[in-house]
Amino acid sequence: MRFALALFALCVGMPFAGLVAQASPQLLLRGAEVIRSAGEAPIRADVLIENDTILEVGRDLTSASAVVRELNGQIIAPAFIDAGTPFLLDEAARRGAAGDLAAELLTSENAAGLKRMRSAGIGLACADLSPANDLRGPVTCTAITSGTSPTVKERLAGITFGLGTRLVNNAGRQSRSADAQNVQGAIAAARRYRKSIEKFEKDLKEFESKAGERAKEIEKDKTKERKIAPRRPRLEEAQECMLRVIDGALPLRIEANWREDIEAALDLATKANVKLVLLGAGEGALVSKKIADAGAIVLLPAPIRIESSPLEAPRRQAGLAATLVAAGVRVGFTTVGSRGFREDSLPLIAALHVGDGLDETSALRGLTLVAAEALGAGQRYGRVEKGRAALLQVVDKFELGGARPRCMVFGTEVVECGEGK
Amino acid sequence: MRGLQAWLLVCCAAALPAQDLVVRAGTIFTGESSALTPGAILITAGKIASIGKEVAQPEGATIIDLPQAFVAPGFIDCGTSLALKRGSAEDERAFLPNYRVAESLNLDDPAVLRHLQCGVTTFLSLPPDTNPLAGRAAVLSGSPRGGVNVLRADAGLVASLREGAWTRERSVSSLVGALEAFEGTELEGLRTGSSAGLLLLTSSGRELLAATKVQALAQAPAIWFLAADADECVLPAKETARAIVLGPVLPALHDRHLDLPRTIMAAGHRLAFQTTAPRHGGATLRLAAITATQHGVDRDDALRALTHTAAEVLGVADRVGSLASGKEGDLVIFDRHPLDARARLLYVVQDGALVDLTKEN
Repeated sequence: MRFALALFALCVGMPFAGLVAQASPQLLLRGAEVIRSAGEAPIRADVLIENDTILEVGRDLTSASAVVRELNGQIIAPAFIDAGTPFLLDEAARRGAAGDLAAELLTSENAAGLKRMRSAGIGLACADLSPANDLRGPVTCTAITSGTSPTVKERLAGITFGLGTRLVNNAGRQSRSADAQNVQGAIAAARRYRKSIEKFEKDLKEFESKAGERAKEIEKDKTKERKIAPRRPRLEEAQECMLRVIDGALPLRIEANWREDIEAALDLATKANVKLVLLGAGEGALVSKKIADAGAIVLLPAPIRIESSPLEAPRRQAGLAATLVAAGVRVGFTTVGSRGFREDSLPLIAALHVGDGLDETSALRGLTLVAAEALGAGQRYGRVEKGRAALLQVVDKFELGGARPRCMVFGTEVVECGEGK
Repeated sequence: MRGLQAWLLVCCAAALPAQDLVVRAGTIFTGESSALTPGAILITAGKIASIGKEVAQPEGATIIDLPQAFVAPGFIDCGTSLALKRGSAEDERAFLPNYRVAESLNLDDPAVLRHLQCGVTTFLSLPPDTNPLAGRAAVLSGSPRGGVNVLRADAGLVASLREGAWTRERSVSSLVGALEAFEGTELEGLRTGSSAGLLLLTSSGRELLAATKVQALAQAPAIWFLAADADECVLPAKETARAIVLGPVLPALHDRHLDLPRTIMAAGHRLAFQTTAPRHGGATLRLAAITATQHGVDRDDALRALTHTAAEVLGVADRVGSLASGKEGDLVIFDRHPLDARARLLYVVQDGALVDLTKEN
């Protein structure tokens, strides 16, 4: 029996044998040049990792139990993050057939796609429905580890709405105002939930504080009806996500491309006092100052318009990313709405924005720290630092020249990406 | 008096549309011979007057001096529907062997300037592919002052094997259909090379087989136009193909399609790219070459596919596609190798004049 089990384990393990170093509680990456964050100079250091977290970055680290990997001066940098991709979802969900919770729509079998993402240095991605899908909703933050499906890291990482995205499909203004009401409605509903929860908590406290008193009463008068404890209001996940948005823990994500939709989104977010992530922002250059003042993060698709679609955005202006960054806006990238590109195109999209005038440091920041912030997880991802998630790429050069990483590091798991240019 | 001076200036500007232009750059990719590092080009009256390590600098010339920049010949798009006059050849499934794109041009097509602004200075315009024999394609170039120039009026006879061009009764997979296709067509010109030959449009493996039949029947050299996302792609025999034009190549294609450029080149074929503009914009031409480099094609080979090779394929290599004295003053200037995705397009020079890259249209 034991033999059979071992054989089974061997068979299951075989396909990954060459790919994955054996999982261990600790991993020590020794002798690396560590680029802690885009734009920072590399430092010679070792990185000690336990489970998912970086324990220490420093010189001459030792650990009795760690698996050691010698890097001989190779560069450790934060892995890239796709802050919005439809490619992790079911085909059907991508086409718009299914429900609205991204975490429920993740594909279970896309090993090839995940491998391509890793080969492009992408270690974390946020599953989001594509704009063709009327039902947008809560997005999910996932890691691209060695499995056949993405590993959910944060089931809820924000919630997406569209403003004016259906303008061309439906007739004009009506859908535009309907879109805005949709967002306002969700915010108002979340406020009501918040109130009902506060009421519940108050009631519960009162109920508990009077529990002894009631017990005595029932003791005296056996016919007295027993009181039932107040019930916690039930929340759908989408509503719970919205609660965390109005509490400021997660961002409200709004896809908006026309100037008036962008302004409407900024207005909505300011009034509701929530964090805003703008997707698309085609005419963002016209209102860059306003976006900066609102503190919103912008996620841009590719700067090349491949094919016109019924969900046509306004013509993207040259130098959009650079204009936004110059105005003080945090700019990241997304494969949502990047027609003609695929899951591993994220660094290519960032590189094309460099060709469109963005400086490379800002582009690299957009692929790492800004993307993490857009997922409401800027404290956990996007930098190589003690206490943060160990989500790294080992590269020869940390730049957007199309070179593959040598390997990716997910916690204590090392996944080889193979030699390549 | 001042008014008169201004008027004179305007007159002079009009009389001398292309001022002398001197371009100095860190790297000049000539298209044919090895690159000049650094190099300089003098363009006079729209044509390259001299090129080398250094050139003479005429008085009053416009100077572009960029020690870090990378100069390449203007890009060539080997398949578009740009500058086509609508209505003249839209009979579906009609045999129009004598239709000529060059004779019914839409000179005001705004997409031509957009193509120029992406560095695409020369393009092949194909007649509608819904006609089995669709007519003669033309090699055109956009003018920086608006309008279109004809570089080659007869760039080959277009035979479309695509689904929309054929009926069940007149299927090209039957030899009858193919024979009918060539009835009354001047095949001699195709064979002797006064035109670029046959341009065979296909988008699937089945259509490719049909095209093989047509090619055998016409016995003319052919340029094969393959859709990059064909369900199955069998490459034509090398001796039947003057070149293969592939496109649109986009990063979203399946890996087996993205390997096609490398496979085609490895099989010894000449490879060029098409955008199918206006369906896909001019920027996708460079994107196709960048994508090819990410799937095993050498960077300079891919750049050649956008320039010199494309010019040879279209039979206009004596005028465009390479930077040599006597050729057209068409070039692009990037801040680094044009097929580095990060490269920024700084200038486009067409007929020796700078193209306004910011103009909206």
